[in-house]
Amino acid sequence: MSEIKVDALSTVSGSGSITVSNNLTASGIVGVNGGTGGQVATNFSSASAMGMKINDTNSGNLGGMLGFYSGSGAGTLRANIQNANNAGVHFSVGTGGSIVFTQNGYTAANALDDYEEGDFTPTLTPGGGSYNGLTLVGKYTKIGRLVSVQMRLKIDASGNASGSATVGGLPFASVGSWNRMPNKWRENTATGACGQFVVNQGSTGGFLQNDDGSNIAHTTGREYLINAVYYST
Amino acid sequence: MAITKRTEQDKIEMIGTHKIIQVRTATVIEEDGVELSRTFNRHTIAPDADSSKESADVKAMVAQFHTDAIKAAYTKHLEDSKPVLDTSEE
Repeated sequence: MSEIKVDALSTVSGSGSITVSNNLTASGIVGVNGGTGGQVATNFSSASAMGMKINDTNSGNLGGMLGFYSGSGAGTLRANIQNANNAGVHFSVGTGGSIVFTQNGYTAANALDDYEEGDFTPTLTPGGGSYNGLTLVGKYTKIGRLVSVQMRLKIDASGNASGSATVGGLPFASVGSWNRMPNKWRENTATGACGQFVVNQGSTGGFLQNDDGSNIAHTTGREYLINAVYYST
Repeated sequence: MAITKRTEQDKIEMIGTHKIIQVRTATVIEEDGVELSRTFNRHTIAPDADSSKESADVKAMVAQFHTDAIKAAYTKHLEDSKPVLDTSEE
């Protein structure tokens, strides 16, 4: 076998293949364009070796480590993997993307397509009269179609409130299959009593009731803690 | 080095047969224009809600989707969804 060693290469064009038995090192960009099927294939057999290694040597937080593009020309960024301040990676699947728990590809029922956490301000409305003061706080986590909310509804001044108690202002519309899906509340300052918070489908709220279906007490100082889950889109 | 805080409505959606509008407001903290954090606050606008204090974008969606027919259907839906209530307290 003959061997050629050169100190510098100018641009070389050709239609053949390049086979390297050992290492191929490029300080610049390696471009792969054309071909059919998988354009870059990595085969390895040792358990101690990685199929592909991506090293962010600049140690930049949120630095792009891998980008996924589609479209003509340079394409448009659809999803990416970023450096998480050298403590992991952020895998961003895009607003229309998902993580799919199948072997062969996308199926809607196996796709985790949403995660979000944040705050909201619920409302509490009596069937009759009105409150003179309320403290209303809510936090939510949405995983796929499942919405989990925690709320603190404190009656600072009961006014002349009476009758039923309607909770509104949930962070996502409920699109479950049935009305009156039950969840729980606990009165946290005076009685320790528990009851039901029912969420209606096709709405943004529900009702607070005692477990026997009677109305809750509209009493100054009462603090209702609510833990609820429901379906959205 | 300038730390700035701003809010923006970064997602406005219309959901379901009752055309409920969901609004996500992001609070963004930036340093010299580079985003450091983003937190979310959400609220919803049902067909029977007061939208007078909403943003122009949300008002436009309310005007488009919350028609009199949708409002009437939602009001009936809420009536039909009420649980059986005992009028007594505790």
